[in-house]
Amino acid sequence: MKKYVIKRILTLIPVLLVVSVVIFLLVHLAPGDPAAMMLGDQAQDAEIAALRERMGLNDPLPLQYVRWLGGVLRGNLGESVFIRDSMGNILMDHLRPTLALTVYALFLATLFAVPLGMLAAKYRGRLPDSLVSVTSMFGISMPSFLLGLLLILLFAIKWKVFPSSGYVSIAEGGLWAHLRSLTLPAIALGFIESGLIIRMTRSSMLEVLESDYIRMAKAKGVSVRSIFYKHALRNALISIVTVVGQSFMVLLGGATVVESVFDIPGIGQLTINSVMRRDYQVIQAVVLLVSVTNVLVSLAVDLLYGVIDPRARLENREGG
Amino acid sequence: MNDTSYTARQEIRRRLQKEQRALMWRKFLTNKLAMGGALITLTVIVLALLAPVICPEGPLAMSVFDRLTPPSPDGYLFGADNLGRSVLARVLYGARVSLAIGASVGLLSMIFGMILGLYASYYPALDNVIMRICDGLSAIPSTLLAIALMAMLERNIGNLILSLTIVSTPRVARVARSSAVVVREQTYIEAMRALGTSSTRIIWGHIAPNILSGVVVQSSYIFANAIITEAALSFLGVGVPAPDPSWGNILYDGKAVIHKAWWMIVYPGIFTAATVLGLNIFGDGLRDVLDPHTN
Repeated sequence: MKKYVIKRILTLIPVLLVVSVVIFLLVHLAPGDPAAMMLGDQAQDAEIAALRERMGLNDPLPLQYVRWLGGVLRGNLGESVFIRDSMGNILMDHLRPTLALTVYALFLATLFAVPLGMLAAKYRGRLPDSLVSVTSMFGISMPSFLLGLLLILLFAIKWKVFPSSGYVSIAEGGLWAHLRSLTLPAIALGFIESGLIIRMTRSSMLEVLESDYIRMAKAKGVSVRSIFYKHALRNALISIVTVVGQSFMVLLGGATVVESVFDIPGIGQLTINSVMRRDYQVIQAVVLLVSVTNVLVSLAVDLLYGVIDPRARLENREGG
Repeated sequence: MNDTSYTARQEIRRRLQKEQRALMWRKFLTNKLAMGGALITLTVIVLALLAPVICPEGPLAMSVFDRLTPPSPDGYLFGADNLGRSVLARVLYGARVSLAIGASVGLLSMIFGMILGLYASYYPALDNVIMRICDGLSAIPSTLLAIALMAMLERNIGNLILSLTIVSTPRVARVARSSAVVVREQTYIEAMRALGTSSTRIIWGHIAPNILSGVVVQSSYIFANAIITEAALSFLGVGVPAPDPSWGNILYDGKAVIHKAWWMIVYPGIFTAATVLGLNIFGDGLRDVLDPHTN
């Protein structure tokens, strides 16, 4: 297990290296002078020159990269040209609503999808199975922001059960108002993932149900109920956990768009506002933060997988 | 071996190939999923092509007095938007933009993904470099990366296609590589190498055709995904520049007047969701036809 953990952690290095190069190059991709772009049309030449000097833009690119990476590793993510606060504070302020939304969406998606996937597996090829398949197909095909807009039309404008937009933190309005403000966004965000979780649950349940030891249990006379919940579900849970873990990352990325539909002041809104303000270092910092979180969560999921299922460790050793 | 037996064998081979193709075609035609998906997608394509016939006034014609007119069968079928433009015209012309972007991204990522995947599978030295770059690119959430790219590049359709292609190519490359690795290990490839066939010929003449089906299926999903991401980017204001219509742009305009004009959300929404659904179903059907193992 130790060997597996070390090996898995070592594979992170090239991934993080590529991520950092891509994110570093982003700012240099912009045609023209990043400093001039950041300061806008009315900037004086002297101002631009000063900013260029401060950002170290006059040095060769590899040197700039090394300096930038060194800064990032020491926790220096650059500074915003618009918001007068440290980058850490800016990110933390905006990360809270995004994380709340993501976790809530994942919770709703799992709550809804795992039982449906099991239902479909239980009645394979019959009506419940087809109904569930159609639902999950719609789920996969419905862009989250579109679903969000439709939910606003129905639940906020027509029936007035949920607010149409805005975010209430726990400190402002208590837990209930907090959840109420996030319910529609979480449904919009979670729906597409629930489609995937349904499919995964169904197929892994079916795979387990066809295995030899289930046939053995049946032959032995174990009740259908016990086979389904005790023997099959437990084993299928391994891959379901993995999919739920991967979903977290997808949702974190997808939150960007949903936040903008519901005016939630999360990192998505921060990104879009920064794009409009040409606040490039904030964009860099956000992309870096989300990507590194992404990589770490996938590491955690993989290690968890290794703990639950010893076969995964073996496979990994053989496959390299 | 004389000439006649050679031509006879060629003839038999041709007939077999023809039969194989006919069989594949029939399988495709009788696959309900593939046909249903193709039908939905084709309907949208035909409507997009007929846009100038259905709406001769075009997507940009404004009439100030008709601002936010609700849909009616004898006026604006899909209503009018906040500038008094026909939503029907904008949705149909927007279909052209959205479909063109989706198709270009699907095609380009297929080509680049295949090149990367094939060479990665054939040369172990390249494999590590290419696949680690793909891993790195996939570690950045795709929508976020596309937004960041569009933030840096000038806002136009070409750059939009470029950004979306960068985001989706690693997915195709991974699928192409994993199936190419299997083909490369086959005995006939080994035999060809022993005979001294050039690498280019082996890669493009013998490995590529065998991985094509998986890559095509993946590309149909990428097509669908590109439509979603394009709509999302345009909805966020970093996609197709106004006043050109795209489904995301119409939804962006619609969000500002969502309390007054449901038709600016519902109609472009139906088109987006239906097209993506059609492409996804088509992809599933295609996978069933091309790859018998999945059943």
